[in-house]
Order: sequence, then C-alpha cells, then structure tokens
Amino acid sequence: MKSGLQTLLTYQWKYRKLVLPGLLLLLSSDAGQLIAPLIVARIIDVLTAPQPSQGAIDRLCWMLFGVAAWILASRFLWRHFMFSAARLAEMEIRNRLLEQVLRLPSAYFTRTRTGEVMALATNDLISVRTALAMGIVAGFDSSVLAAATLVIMAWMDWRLTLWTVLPFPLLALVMAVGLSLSYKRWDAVQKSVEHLTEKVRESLAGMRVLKAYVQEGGDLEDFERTNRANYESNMAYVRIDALYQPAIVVLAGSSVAILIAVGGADVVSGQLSLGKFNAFMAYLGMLTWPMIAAGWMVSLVQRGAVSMGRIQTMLALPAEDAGGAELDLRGALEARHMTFTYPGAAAPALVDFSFRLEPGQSLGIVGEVGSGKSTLALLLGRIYDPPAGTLFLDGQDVLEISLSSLRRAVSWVPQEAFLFSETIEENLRLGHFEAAPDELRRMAAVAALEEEILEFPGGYETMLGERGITLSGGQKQRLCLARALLKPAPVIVLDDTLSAVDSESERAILAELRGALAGRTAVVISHRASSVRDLDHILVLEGGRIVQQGRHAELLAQGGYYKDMVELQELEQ
Amino acid sequence: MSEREEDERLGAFELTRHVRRILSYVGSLGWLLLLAVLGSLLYAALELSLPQVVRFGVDHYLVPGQAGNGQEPMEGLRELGLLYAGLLFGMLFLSYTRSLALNHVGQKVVQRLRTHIWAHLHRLPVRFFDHNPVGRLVTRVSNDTNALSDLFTNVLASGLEDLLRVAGVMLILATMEPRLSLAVAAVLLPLAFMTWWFKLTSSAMHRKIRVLLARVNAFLQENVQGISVVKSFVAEKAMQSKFHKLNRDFYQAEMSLIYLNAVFRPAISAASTIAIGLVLWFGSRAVLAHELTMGTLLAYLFYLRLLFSPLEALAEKLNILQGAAVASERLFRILDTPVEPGYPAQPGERETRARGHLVFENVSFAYDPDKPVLRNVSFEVLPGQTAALVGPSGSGKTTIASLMLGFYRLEGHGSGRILLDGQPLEQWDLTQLRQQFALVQQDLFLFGRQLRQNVALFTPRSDEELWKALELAQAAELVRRFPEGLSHELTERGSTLSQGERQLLSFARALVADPPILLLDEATANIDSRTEQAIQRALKALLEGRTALVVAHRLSTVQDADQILVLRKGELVERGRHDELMRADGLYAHLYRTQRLTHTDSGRFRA
Repeated sequence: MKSGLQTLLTYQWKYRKLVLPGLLLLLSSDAGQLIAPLIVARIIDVLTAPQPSQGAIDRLCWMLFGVAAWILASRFLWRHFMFSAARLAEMEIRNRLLEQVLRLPSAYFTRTRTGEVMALATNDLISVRTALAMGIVAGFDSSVLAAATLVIMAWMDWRLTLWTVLPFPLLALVMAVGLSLSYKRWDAVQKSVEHLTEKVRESLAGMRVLKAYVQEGGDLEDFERTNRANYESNMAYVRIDALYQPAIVVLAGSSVAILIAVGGADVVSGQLSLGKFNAFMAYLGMLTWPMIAAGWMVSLVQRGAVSMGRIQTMLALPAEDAGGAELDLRGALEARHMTFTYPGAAAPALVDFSFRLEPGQSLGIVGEVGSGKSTLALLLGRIYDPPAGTLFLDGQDVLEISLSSLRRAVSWVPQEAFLFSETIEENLRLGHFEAAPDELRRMAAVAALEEEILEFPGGYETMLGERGITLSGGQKQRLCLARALLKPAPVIVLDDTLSAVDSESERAILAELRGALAGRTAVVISHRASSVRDLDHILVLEGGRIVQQGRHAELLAQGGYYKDMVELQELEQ
Repeated sequence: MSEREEDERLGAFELTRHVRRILSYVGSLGWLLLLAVLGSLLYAALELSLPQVVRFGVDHYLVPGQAGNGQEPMEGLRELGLLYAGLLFGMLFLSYTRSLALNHVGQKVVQRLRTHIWAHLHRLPVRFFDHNPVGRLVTRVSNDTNALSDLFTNVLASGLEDLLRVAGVMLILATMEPRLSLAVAAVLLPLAFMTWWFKLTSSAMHRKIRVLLARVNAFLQENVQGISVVKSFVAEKAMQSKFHKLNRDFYQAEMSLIYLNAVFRPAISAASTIAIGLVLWFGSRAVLAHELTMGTLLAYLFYLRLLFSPLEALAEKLNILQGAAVASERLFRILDTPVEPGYPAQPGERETRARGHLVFENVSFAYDPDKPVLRNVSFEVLPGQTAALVGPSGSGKTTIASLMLGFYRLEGHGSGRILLDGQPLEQWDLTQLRQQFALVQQDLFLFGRQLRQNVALFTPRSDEELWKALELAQAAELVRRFPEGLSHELTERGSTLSQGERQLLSFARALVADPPILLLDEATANIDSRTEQAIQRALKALLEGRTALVVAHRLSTVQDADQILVLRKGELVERGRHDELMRADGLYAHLYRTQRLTHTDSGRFRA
C-alpha cells in the first residue's frame, strides 16, 4: 500500500489539469511581487538623480499599476485552480468513503464505532484537504519566493545581502525549536481538553446518580482539578507560542537594523543607490513570510499525510463476499440442525435449530429477551453468516447464493426501527424504487399509517428526522413494516415489529397483514402470542433451543410456557 | 426551530448585552487587563516609530547633499541601527508580556465561568437533563467557554493591536502629508466598502456551507448506523447516488466561497501596490517641487506596508466576535435557568437520620400532561419494612423511586402527597432528603476508572471503610481478583464485570453511603448461581435495619417482602404478601408462574 504522502501526491497529480496551471500562475504572481520593488527602486533613483525626469517617473508608475493588475489576476486564478483541485479531491475521497462503508462486511461495524468512521470523514478529510490546498502550495510558494528574493538581492549587492541575512540562521533555529516545543505543548492542551470533555460527559450522564448520592460537592472539586489542569496546559503553551511569534518578527526586523547601519553607510559612500536601499527594505520584508511558511507547511503536509494514511487503511479493507449464484428465489426456507454463535460471544445464540417452510407458509418464533429469536433474521439476510450446510433457501445453501439475489429475496423489518432522514416516500421506496403510487398507499394502509401520513403537513413528502418531524416509536415501527411489505420479496421477516404499537392498532394491522402476506413465506418473531396465533407453525425458544413447537391450539393444549404467556398477556391488557 | 438556526440569527451586536456579564468574571484581574491594553498601545507606538527612524536616517545622512549636519554619517547610521534594534527588542518584550497577561485573563475567565456553569448544572432539576442531551451540554461546557477565551486572546490581543496600527498609520499619514493621504484614501475607501460587502456575502455563504456539510455528514453517519438496513434492502446504489448529489451540492457551495475569497484576498494586496504607485505619482511631483523631503516619501512607503496587512486580519476578528456572541448567549441561557426548588445554597452533610417512614397519598403523576404515568397510587411503608414493586415495564415502578428522591415535583405535574417521616417532601431540604436514600441501580454507573472511586464516589473514604462495605456486599472477593485491588482500572462500561458483579459493587456503594432507606432496582439478567448466592447474602446485609422499596425481579425478595405492590399501567392493582397474592390468582400469580418457568428469574416482560 502507498504511504499517506504518496497518496496525497497521487491526488495532486490526478488533478494536474488544475494543479499545473495553478502552480504556473503562482509563479507568475510571485514574479509580479518581486518586480514591484524593483520598479519602486527605479522611481526613487530617478527622483534622486541630478536631473530627475517626471516623464520617466510617470512611465514607471504606470508600469507599477500594470504589475498590480497582473498580480491580482494571477493570484485570483491560482487560488481558483489550486483550491478547486483540493475540493474535487475532497469530494472524491468522501464519495469513496461512503462507497466503502456500503461494501464492507457487517463484522467491520460490530468492532468499529460510528465515531471512528465519522472522524475519518471529518477531521482527517479536513487535514487532507488543507494539505492538498495549502501545504504543497505554501511549500512551493515559499521556497520559490525565498530563493528568487535572495537571488535578486545578491544581484543588486551580494555583500549587503550577506550582511542582512545574518540573523536568518538564528531565525531558522528559533522556528525549528519553537515549532517542535509548541507542538508538544499543543498536544498537551488537546489531551487536557479531552480529559475535560470526558469528565463532563461522564458526570452529565451520571447526573441522576450524583444527585441521588448528593455528590455535587465532590464532583465539583474533581471538575475543578481537570479545569485547572486545562488552564495550566493552556498557559504552558502560550508561554512558548507568545514568544516565538514576535521573536520571528524581531529577528526579521533586525535585518532592517543591519541594513540601516551597513547599507546606509554604502549609500553615503556612494556604493548603493537610495532606490536600491529602499528595495532591500522591501525584499527583507518579503523574506519573513517564507521563513514562517516553511515550518507551517511542513506540519500541514505531515498532518495531511498521517490522515491520508488512516483513510487509505480503511479504503483498503476487503469488501463483502461478492460471489455466489444469481438465482430467482421462490421462498422455500429450511434450517437443518443449525447451531450459531455470534463472533466474540461465549455461548451460542441458537442450538440445534431446525424447521421447514414451503413457499407461502408462515412461521412464528416466540421467546423471551435474549432467547435467540432475532438471530434467524440476521442470518437470513447474511448480515452474519450461518455455518455452512445449515440454512437453505429453495434447497440451496444461503452461503452459495449471491448476496444481492439473497437480499433481494428477503424483506426484513428490523427490531429497532431504523429510518433515514429523508421523506416518508423515500423511506418507503427503499427496497422498491419503482413501486406504483397506489401500491405505496396500499401498504401504508396495511400498516395502519395511511391516515396519519395524510395528516402530516407534507403528506408522503414530509421529511423525517432532525430536519423534519419526529415520529413516535409505534409510527416508526409501522413505517418500517410498510417499507418491508412494499419490497417485492418472496420471503419476509418481521422481528418484533409491533412491540411499540398499541393493542388496538395491532389488532387492525394483524387483520390486514394476512392479505398482504398472502403468497409470501413469512417469519414472524414476537414476544406476544397475539402476533403469532394464526400462523402455520410456532416455535417457542428458550436459551437458543426450541422447547415447544406446533400450532397455536396444540401449544395451548400442551400447557407450559406458551399457555402461561398467553394467559399473562390477556391479564395485562 | 433547531438550536443551530436559532443561534445563527444572533449577530455580533448581541455581544454588547453580555459584555458586562463577561467582564464580571475578570474580577480582580481587571488591572492586568488594563495593563495589557496599555502595553498594546505602547507596542503600536513603538512599531509606528520604526519608519520615523528610517525617515530620519534618509533625510539626514542618505539623500545626496544633505550628508553631515555636523555629525559623522557612519557614526550616526550605526546609532540609528542600534536604536532600530532597541525598538524591536522593546516590542518583543511588550508583545510577550501582553500576550501572557491577556491569555492569563482569558483562561481564568474561562476557568471561572466553567466552574460557575458546572456548579449551576448541579443544581438544575432532573427535568432539565431530560430535555438537554448530554452531547449538547458537553459542547457548552468545553467548547463554548473556549470561544469566550478567544475573545480575550484573539480579539483583544491582536485585534486591538491591528486596530491601533491602522488608526495610528492613518493618523500619521494624514499629518505627515495630507495631500498624499488623499491618494491613499482613494484606494482605502473602495477597499473598506468591499470588505464590508465581502463580510456580508461570505457569512451567508458560510452558513449555507455549514448546513450542507452537516447534511453530508449526517447522511454518512446514518448509513453507518443503518448499514444492515441498507444492505438488506439492497439500497447501496440508491444511497450512493444520493450521496454523490449531496456531496456535489456541498462542493459547489464551497467553490462559490473560494471564488469570493480568490477575489477578495488578492484585491487587498493589489490595492497596496496601487496605493504605492499613487503615492509615488503624486509624491514625486512634490519632491521635485521641493515641497516634500525624500525621507518623508520613503517613510510614507514604509507606513503603507504596515497599513494593509492588518486589514485582512480585522475581517477575521469579526467572525470570532460573532462566535463569542453566540457562545455567550447559549452559556448565559443555561446560567439563567432556575435551579431546583428546595436545593440549598450550601449543601451540607446529613444532619439527622430519618426513621424511614414512607407514605404515598393519592399520588398521580405525568411527565407529559397527556400521558399519565401514575394514577391515584397510595401506600405506606413502615420503618424497617421491605416493599416490593412488581409489574410489567412501563407500569410506573421507577417513577415511584424518582419521585421519592425529589427528582420530579408533583406540583404542576400531578396531585397527591408524598411524605417521609410524616413531613411532605416539598418541606425537605433536597440534599438532606437525598442523603436519607441509597439508589441502587441494576447497572453500576461508572465515574472515572478506578474501582475505589466507583464505590466511594466523590466523598473521601478510608480503605478500611471501603473494604468493610465490600465484604458486606459480597464484593470483596471480586475486588481481590484484581492485582491492583481497589486501584483497578475498569474499562469503558465496565465490561470486564458481569451484570451480577456490577450489582454487587453498587450494593457496596450503597453500604458506604449507609442511609436509612434503600431504593433498589434488582438486576434482571441471567446470573450464574454462584453470583446469585452472593447477591442473596448481600441483600440480607443491605436490607438489615433499613426501609426498602425494591423494584423486584428475584423470587426471594418478593417472598420475603412485608408487602408486594403490583402495578399495571400506573395503577396499584394488587397488594399483599406473597401467599395472599398467590391465593388470589391474579396478575401477580401469573407473573410469578411465568418467571419461574424460565431460569431462576431471568427477565421481565416488555408490554
């Protein structure tokens, strides 16, 4: 794999149609900046000559205006070119990050926090962009400008140049030491901010415990310690930072002091013209910037390269398995003695799990929290892979079916209702983009949602989430149900779909659901007997094992867990 | 309206309303602030005198025909060089001390403000925390306070200096040679107008860019969080094309800002070259007419260089000012939120130990007006008794504990009376009231990393005290398992401990506090039999001599309870001892039977 720096340069090269003209224009603007003091020097020399000519001065002034226009044009253009290139690269990297997110296997997301992925897309991407836009430009600009300035100064008067650049080695030393010290201390500041943030987050999250145990006083003292540490790390940083910035200005300024003493003597003795004396002053001013920029640039590129490396590592991870047979599935579903353990878990979630469904049949799975009843839903869509030779669709091991045809054949209502911050309609169409409008309405009606949707200000166009309305838990679940029903899949899995729906809506939905599920193989996972009582086959799970199975009436007759559950739920109503 | 939109309507002008309040945190450091401002003035004066040195040198020694003036030119030039260097070192000293002083003041203000906010947050009602997510409050305390320190270090330090520099240069230019200043003004006025226009246009663009960037990132975040939904609906392609579009919109918005910046920033530097040209155009005529000395003209050029560089920086300062205004508005909004009624000015140690007589009298309560949580609940727990609360989740069990602790008030949100030792809760000092209870949660909420701190919380306790409590809570063995003992560092969420073990540690926490009343939420998870036995033994020690209100999931607790209160949808539907309720064969009997069917008692039903 390429290093971060190499990747940065690859991106720079990729947009060379913008970068190369940008660099040329940058050179052109530097040239303009270098020429302007020469013109001013000429003007002053003409002015101090024995026979000054106003006409010559005016011509030179016009040249100066011309140079100003030239600088303006080239600076505008180089900024435009270089920054466009950086932003295009930024856009491309961001697109690739999302594409990679969509391609990675689920295992990646179980061990990676959302925040880590987001940090790549925000903090790291910003430092990459900055390195692309400013780091390399500043490096190029400052070295070219510094070299050219020195050449011109030496061409005008090499002896005076040597005198005036005397403080510069010292300046470079101050830069190097100051930068590394201030970075270390800046890191310490960042750490203390992290501590403070963590302390604040923890105490706020535990505020109820703090209040219940009347620990406010002790917590305040603890907070004070972190707060003071933050103050101290800030001041330690300032002690370096506040010194090193003006030190640069002063050291650069001392060149001017040398110019007055040494160069002034040259003017008196006639070795140096007054115009050149003034030009020297201007050029010394121009040398200060590259000195400051050099250190700045190195750090920008370094940071950018580290960030690029992190992004690169994520982009290089292997994608989800893309092989397998492309099949048109009908929905015969079978599990054979399946025992499945989640990656990293100690105990299996399902043990010796078997059942068989013909296309169009329905299966209910009931059991307590943690009994393993949601696992089948995740295995069917291969969010997790089942063991080989245990789970079959149309007689084919699901591991041998391509991910896309498998997932196209299975529609799923997740236990935790997850909706996107888009319109209601966009959410509904997630699995069937081309669905006809009346089909959309019909499924919303089955989920007993149609009336409520029409009451929203924008109807089906209503935005959800932060930029729109917040749905109740029950509404979210019903929307997820309608979304899954709309997807034209032969198999549908409902995972505790109606837990937050009140019992009245539940009855209405269950009545309608039968029609909507007709012809599809359905797996209904629930902790409520009412959701499964009419299904073809019911499994009762306990600790991952099937402890009872059969039809509703049979299970009631058997007595035991299922019967007790039904009775309890009747009492709770 | 979202908070972001609300904040964006606030301008820098709002800051003036808060200036007095911000300054109150400066307090005794006022003299330092004053000194720093004086230092800035002096710094600007020194900086502005540099060109005068050049001017003096040129006029006295360098311009042909002027050399001499009774002094040896080489000698004079060397002295001027030294003077110039001396001025520079004076500037270095001033700049350094001023930066230190301003940073000291700025950081102290932040520190004081943070402490103030933190102390205030402690006294806010639980309802406030229900409505303000942790993430938002964290931003307030750590980031927004920092925006205020920028006000001192950035705006006051370099901003004041830049302002003084610009004003000083303009004043000097005008007095040195008024006619040339007209030429400079001809450049500066359009530039000032342009800066103002740039500021307006760019802040509108910045706002748009922020909104679009937030949208791009939110989209990415949702796709990460909902990745299994995206995958199972095979919606990758659709998501990709939506993202490309969002990303392109963002790119285009950014490009328009880049375009604007690409015009504005070079324009300032071009303006300075044009100003130099104009000064030379008119100045050369004045020099030739002997109305202007060469030295003055050169000094003029030197001053022009000082004039233009701060202009750009000043536009930046406006942004910082605006940020500080928004931050202070948010911070002061928190500080203006009224504290919990009944919270004392000075929370003290527990003064008296309550007997532990609890009474609920016709208590009804709702968090939201249209969703009642408790309906007309009445019960009494005598000192030393154990009452078990049983019922499906959502039936109001934990609300009863929250009300006992005075987290929520009945007034305005319900009716009835709650009494402790015969005294209505409203009449208790809140900190005194809470010190009569120990809240034992299913899960040990972790503070910091060390075990010690998680048992003792923020009250200093001796190791003996802690070990004694750990022994009683049957948690000593588990702590000894770690080589560092009490200093063992727990991982995030305490994942090295099982749920049963975490409950044992929260028992120890309660025993250290040693209150007369327990509010206990029993662990529901599957617990291995060894830990289960430990929990049973610990519960005995815990309940001994205390009044207890237990949200019960364990058989032994309900069987031994002095009374069992069965709740359903906020109503008390059954009460009595275990055998009485079993005979009645109602909700309790069914709950009991189904629970026994699974393990010991592994879960509560969600309803």
